[in-house]
Amino acid sequence: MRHLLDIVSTGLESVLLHPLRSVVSFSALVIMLLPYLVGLGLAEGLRAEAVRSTQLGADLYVTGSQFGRPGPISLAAVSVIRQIDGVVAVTPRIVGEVVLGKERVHAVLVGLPPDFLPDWSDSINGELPHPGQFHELVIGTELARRLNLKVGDPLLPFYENHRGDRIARIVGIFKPDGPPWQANLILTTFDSAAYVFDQDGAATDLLVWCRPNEQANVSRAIARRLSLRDVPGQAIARPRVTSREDLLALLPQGLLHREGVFNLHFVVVFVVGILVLLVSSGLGLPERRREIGILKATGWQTDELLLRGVVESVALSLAATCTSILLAWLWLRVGNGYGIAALFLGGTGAAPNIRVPFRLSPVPALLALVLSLVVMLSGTLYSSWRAATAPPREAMR
Amino acid sequence: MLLYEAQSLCKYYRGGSRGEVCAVDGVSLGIERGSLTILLGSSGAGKTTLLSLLGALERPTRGRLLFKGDDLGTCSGMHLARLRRRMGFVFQDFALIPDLSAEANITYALIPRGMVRAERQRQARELLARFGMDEKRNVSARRLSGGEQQRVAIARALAGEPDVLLADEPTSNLDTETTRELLAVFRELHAKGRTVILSSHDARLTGQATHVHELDKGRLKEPRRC
Repeated sequence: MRHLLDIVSTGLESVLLHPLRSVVSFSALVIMLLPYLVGLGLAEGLRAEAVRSTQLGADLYVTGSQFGRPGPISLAAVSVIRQIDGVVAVTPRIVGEVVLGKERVHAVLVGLPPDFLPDWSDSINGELPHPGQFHELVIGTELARRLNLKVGDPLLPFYENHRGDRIARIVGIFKPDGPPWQANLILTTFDSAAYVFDQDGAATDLLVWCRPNEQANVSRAIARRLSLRDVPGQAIARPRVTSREDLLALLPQGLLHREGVFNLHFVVVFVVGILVLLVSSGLGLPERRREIGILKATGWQTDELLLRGVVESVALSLAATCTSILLAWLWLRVGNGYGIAALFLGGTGAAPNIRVPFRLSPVPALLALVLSLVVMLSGTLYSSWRAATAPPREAMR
Repeated sequence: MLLYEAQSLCKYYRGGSRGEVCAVDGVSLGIERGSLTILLGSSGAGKTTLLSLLGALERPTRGRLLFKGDDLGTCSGMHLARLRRRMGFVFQDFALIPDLSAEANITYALIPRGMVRAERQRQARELLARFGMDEKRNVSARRLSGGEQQRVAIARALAGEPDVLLADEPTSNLDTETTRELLAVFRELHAKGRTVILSSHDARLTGQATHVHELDKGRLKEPRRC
């Protein structure tokens, strides 16, 4: 055991014995791992934020369904759903995309009935939108930055409507520490949203809250009642009911798409990384071969030399992983995901104006360690093995 | 009593377009324990290759080479490494690890022998003091002069009290005074009963030896006892 510890200690000394090679290998690993850890931290943070937001939302989301696609639903369905046993509340909502300004900034406009808006008051700097002659809007921080808008500013009509355009007014801006999807959000009253999209008597979806354990029954009842008969005076589309659990199950698919693209890019980076380390391990390769040959000539065995090489690689990998984790945390916490957050949050620039959510969990950290070990060992162990298995005289040549 | 016994020992190297190069060709010899043997020959005679074979740094292509009864040509790599711990080799170019200190160059060689750190340090310091290098024990090998490097290399070869000391052209780069000092060291080791094998092209050294084996083009000339 003591003998093994002595060899381990020479492996650690070897890191300092070859400073150039160690610095190049260490830097190559950090350069590879750092963006990867930041990306995984962002993806995890966004996933957690999405789950939290979904859990705080409604129990059921009812939309229309036409030709197998989601479509608007008639407001007449609200009263039908309210009559279903187990329903606590029903709120219509309009969600649509608008394009603003000369820069053609894409934003999501959400319209909610006035009695539902106070729930948002804590996350807004300014006032809540009120019904009236003007469209009163609360906009996200990223929109405010990109369009250079502040509370009180007017907003020229950004839509076409046969009833005529109306000027909008900014009455509030979402606080920057809110969820990331508020960055490009426009919140207004249901009527204003209906006016903007020229959709009288329809909503994008209905939010339904149920009594505990009644969600499944209510869901079936909505599907049955809205399908069996038309609401008087309104021809409504077939309903599509999505539960909170359905949404939670769908969330990873959307996030994994971006995460998957990110991972794919990193597979390429890692392959290149292995090649870089193979080259970097070749820094001073003749000296390294000679050193192994000398040690072998003085009585070192092949397995002892390989153990020494493994310890050196593991030490460098551990140091690079720990440094990468620390730097990733700083990048996310202090740098707010500068540069890389835009890959995960559409519409944000290189420096997001919102607090970007992140979570550096143990699994990505462990994965980073495994990856760095694989890269380091595949880059260095082969050359060490070649030298250690050769006769000493040959290795020293 | 024989420490080494070689029978029809051959060593060939791949020589590129020239095909195989024969460095040692059918050498048969015996080296007695406690002897001071010189392998004599001009450049290219095969002295270094024969010394490498005796030092278990290479395996013979053909023939038998026994060290204390163990066949260096057929024993396992692990066993060969263990046998190397009973031999001390002084390379012509000293072969020190340049970034390690003089002391670490010696203690590293003692690690495979399973000695505790304190014992390794004690032995290394004793040996360095014996060769007048105690003040430079923490200096990296890279910063030592040629003569100093050679003394560290000899100290390393003697670490762990090997059964045999093999030195490849130990006097080739030395001035007269240093050569005299070095030969005194070898004589002292021999006087203490240690087996010493040197390779040299300098016939003047044969006066120091108990046995001389002269090589020419890889072949052994008639052995002579001094």
